[in-house]
This record gives sequence, C-alpha cells and structure tokens, in this order.
Amino acid sequence: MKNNIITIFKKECTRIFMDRRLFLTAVVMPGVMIYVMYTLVGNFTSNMISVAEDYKYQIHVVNMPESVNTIVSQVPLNINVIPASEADIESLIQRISDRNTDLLMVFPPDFDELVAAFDITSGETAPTVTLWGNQARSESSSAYYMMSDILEKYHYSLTHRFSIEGVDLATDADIFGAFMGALVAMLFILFIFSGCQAIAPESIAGEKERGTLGTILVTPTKRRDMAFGKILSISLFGLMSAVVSMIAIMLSMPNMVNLGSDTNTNFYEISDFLLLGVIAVFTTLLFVAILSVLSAYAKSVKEATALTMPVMIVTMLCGMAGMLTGGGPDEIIYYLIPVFNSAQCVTAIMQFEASVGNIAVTIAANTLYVLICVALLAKMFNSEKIVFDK
Amino acid sequence: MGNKPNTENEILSVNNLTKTFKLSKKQQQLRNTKNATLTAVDDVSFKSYEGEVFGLLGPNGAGKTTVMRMLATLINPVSGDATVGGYSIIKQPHEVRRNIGFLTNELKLDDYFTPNYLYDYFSQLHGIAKEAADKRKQDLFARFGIDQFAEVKVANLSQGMKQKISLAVSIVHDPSIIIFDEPTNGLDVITSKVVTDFLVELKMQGKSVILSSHIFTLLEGLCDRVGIIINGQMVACDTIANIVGGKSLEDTFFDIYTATTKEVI
Repeated sequence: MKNNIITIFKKECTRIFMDRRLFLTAVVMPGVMIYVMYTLVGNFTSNMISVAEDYKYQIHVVNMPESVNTIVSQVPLNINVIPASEADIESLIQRISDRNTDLLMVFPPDFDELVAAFDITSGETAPTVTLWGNQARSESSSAYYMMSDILEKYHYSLTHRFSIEGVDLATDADIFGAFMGALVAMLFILFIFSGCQAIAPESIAGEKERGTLGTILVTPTKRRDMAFGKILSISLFGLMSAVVSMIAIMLSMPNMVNLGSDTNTNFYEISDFLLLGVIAVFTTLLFVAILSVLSAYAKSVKEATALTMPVMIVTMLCGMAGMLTGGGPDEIIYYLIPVFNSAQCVTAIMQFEASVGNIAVTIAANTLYVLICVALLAKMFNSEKIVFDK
Repeated sequence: MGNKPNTENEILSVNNLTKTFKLSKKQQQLRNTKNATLTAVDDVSFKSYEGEVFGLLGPNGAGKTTVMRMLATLINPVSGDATVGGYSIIKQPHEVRRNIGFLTNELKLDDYFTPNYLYDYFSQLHGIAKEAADKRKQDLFARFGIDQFAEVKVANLSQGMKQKISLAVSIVHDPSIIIFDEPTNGLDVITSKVVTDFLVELKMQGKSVILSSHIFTLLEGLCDRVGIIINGQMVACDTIANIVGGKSLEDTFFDIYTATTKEVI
C-alpha cells in the first residue's frame, strides 16, 4: 500500500498547515521578526556611526606647522581648520568634552624645525603632537581618525626611505561573499533546525501523548510508510519555515551591514540559490529524521523538546565551525559528517567556491542517514515499549 | 439470536499466550512486591468460531485488554501465538490488521479533524476505493447519527459521539473479525444502547466478534461463548449455557472469582 505514504503525508500536512496559529508562529513570525530586527539593528548602528555627507569638520589647531598644513590642504576633505592659541587649549578641551566642536590638535612651536633636527639615535623624546577628541560624538570620532591617519602617513614618510603600497584585489562580491559565507552558514543551519524543531516533537510525541498513534498502528499501514509520511510532511513544514527565514535574512542583510540601497549586493546567481535550495532540502530531511527518532523515543512533547536541545547545540557548533574555517575543507571525509557537511557547503556556496563533488557527497551522506533514521523510526513504531510506555 | 456460529470454522485460535511487563521500583512498591516482572496474561488459550460473539469477562486488571492488544498486534506475547482469521499475530501481523476491526478506549482520534476527514483518512489507510468508502460512510454515519456532525471537529463533540465515530472508523474496511475492548465503557445509557444494538447487528450479519467487558448483562445478552479471566489466567471458557448452569452469569462469575482468588466479597 504505497499510497499510504501519500495519505499520511497529506493528513500530516493538513494538520500542520491548517493550524493557522502554528503556521503563523512557526513559519511567518520568525521571518518577519528577522527582517524587522536586522533592519532595526542595521539602522540603529548606522545612525550611531554616520556623519552627514556635507558636514564640515571643525578642527582647531595650535601651532599648525607648514608641512602638515600643506598635506591637509591637499587632501579632499571637508575640513575647517581653525587656528588657535595655547591660551585657548583649556576652553577648547571643554568644548570638545561638551560635544560642541570636533577636534583639537596641538603641535609644539617650531614643529618642522624640531622634526628636522631630531636624531632618532639620540634617545631623546621625539616632538609630540597631541589630539583631543570625543569618541561619544560621531563627528569628533571621525575627525580624530581622519587626522591621525594623515599624521601617521606624514610620520611614515619622514622616517622611512621607501613606501609600501598594498593592492587589495578582493572585489565587492568577494568581500560580501566572505561576510555572507561566515554568517549565513550558521543562520541557515539554525533556521532550518528551528523550523523542524517547532513541529517534530508535536507530530510524533504529541500523537503518542494523545493516544492517536496507536489508532494508526492498528491499520494495515506499514510502519516504514508511516515513518516516511511523517518525515516528509514535517520536512515540508521545516523547509517552508527555513525558506521564509532565509528570504528575510537576504532582504534585511544589506540593511544590517549598512551597504545602503545604492550598493549592489546582487552577486549570487540562480544556480547559487538552487544549490542552497538542494542543501536546504537534504539538511531539513536530516534534521527531521533525527528529531523524529528522538520524538518517538520521548514519552511526551515536553520530553521530546528537551531531547532536541543537544542536537541544537551540535547544530550551532557545526554552524560556527563554518564561520571559523572560513571556507569548506577539500577532504571528502568532512562531507560525511552530518550537519557539519551542510554548513560547509553553504559557506562554500556563499563564497562562490561551491564544489559539486562535495555537495554530492553531502546529499548522498544525508540520504543515507535519513534512510537509517526511517528504518529506526519504523522499528520504534513496532515497539510496544516505545508506543505505549507512558 | 441471529445467525448460528459455524463451530467447524475456527476464526480465532489463541494458544498459550503469555505476556509479562517489567515493573518499575515505584510500581513494585505500589503493588507491595519485590518481583520486578508482572505476568499480565498467563498461558491463556481459547478458540472462537466464525459468526460467533465471544466474550472475555474479568475484573479490572485481569488481563482482558492485554489479550485484546495482542490479538490486534499492538503488543507481542512473550510466548505462545494466536491465529486471527488464519493469520499468525506474530508472523503475519500485517494480514491480521487487514482483517480485523479494533476498538479500544485507549486509542483516540485526532481532535483536530472532523469525522468526515477521519473516516476518509482511515478508509484510505485500509485501501478502500473511494466510491465504496463513500457509500459505507453514508450508511454508518446515518446509522450512528454522525451525519449531522460530519464537519464538526472531534474536539467539539460529546464523549458519546466520539465513541460512535471511533466505532465507525474502526470498521471502515468492513472487517469479518471485530475486536472490541470495553466498547460501552464511560458511555451514557443511550449511547451504550446504540453500541449494544450495533453489536447485535454485526452478529446478525455473521461477523465474528471478540468482546471484552465486565458488564454481565452485555455479555449474557450477546455472547455465544464466554471466557473468564482472573489474574491473567483463563479460569473458565465455554458456552454461556454450560458456564452458568442455570444461574445468572453474575452469580457464576462471583462463585468462580471467590473460588479462584479465595477473596471474600
């Protein structure tokens, strides 16, 4: 009676999807929350560190040397250099402290001459430039780093006879990919797990608790068909939950990382999303299969939920391993490790380094683990200790 | 009453069924025993014939439900075997399930669904063609008055109506062997009568019914033969007439019970 897999699948789907409250809380809400939360956090951090584009930095300088003045005037920065005297220092420090102005730079008198005469081997203290800023004020903080950078470069050019020019060949896509690969792998795995965790304990342990599982067991339905029907229906739900969460991440990510609406983040192609989808399907099946076995073993939904916790911790570790390794390892054996293999594949896909071979091994390994879990679940459905022990 | 059983055709043969359960420390304390194993069914044997209503009579905890569960293939005996409709409960449980209708209070229907949905679902699990399933659903729903509540979620129905739906769902496949465990337990007198009348109808249709109960009048009125189980053992098994020997079933039972357990009631 092969049709029984479909019959059970349809019944379970009806049970899950027609329960609007469950659907809203386990599928729609996480997605909405992710989008709202990430966008708000992004906007919040953006507002904290951003300075208006047309802002003119107020930089007060005591004893501005000619050399530095020349450099500053050549830099295309929106700076208002305000000469000040040593008598103004105290009041300017107070104004910076009160967040009324941005930066104070104090050079020793005759700075250029002192620098020219300074012998690095003399052991004497080098001429010192002092900068007063206020990190609590975005404009002051930006001005501080801007001027420090200029002075660093000037300092470097005085003391070194050659310069080093670094050329970063990373494209925007590479930078974005590295970021997404690190972060998304963990979120991807965790969201899939959460979707499965929301329904698997209820679907099997709940049926045991309510006494409805035995009613099905007394029909001529094969236990294997029951296991397949349940795993497939829960997987569909888990997958939907994960897809909604992932869409929310993708939509909110540019806001989260402050790339702005004018920055192109559309680096991924349809094939990347297809590969992600394939990994999502087989990861979901694996999670559901593992959680179903735990759920069947548990005597109640409460116990089943508690039993899922160790799996969640392992899942988080595997997701974080994706962040730490910074890309998928090449050795095939790593792709036989459940959950870790999925996290590594997702990282590789997001970093534009997907290997079809590694993904194929991951799919094959997960399929094998799912089949083992189905066989185990079917055996558990046949065990009176599992089904009737309360 | 009804068709005569065909005593040449064994529909059920129970041979030395034994079932034990492990007791937890707490259960041992409650039962005041140091024995970690409870023998719920102890070497029970009996037969039932085609078209017969066979009753299992016994007090609570005697082992009736355990025997019924073993016959329904939900649990396995530790020793012995039984054939139901010619199929072994150990070697051919799938075939046994295909041929029986099983009703017990401990198996519930999902509250979330309507009777209509559940009936169709169980029909499909039994592989019944849609047309035949619809026709039988119409008959059974009309017979039990479920039709007015066909689209109401089970959670919102009365206990009596739930039991009627469970009954209808248990026989969606029109089984020839029906195993009902305490079918009138917890029901009001009206619903009890509906169930009892339906059992009479099944007997008239020539179905073989295995019925467990501790309600004497129910068994006395319906059964061709009765087995009395006390403390997991079958202490008497025969036709009603042979067992009671002119007395009532109730008096006969208490005589046997007192003689077996040495308890004074």
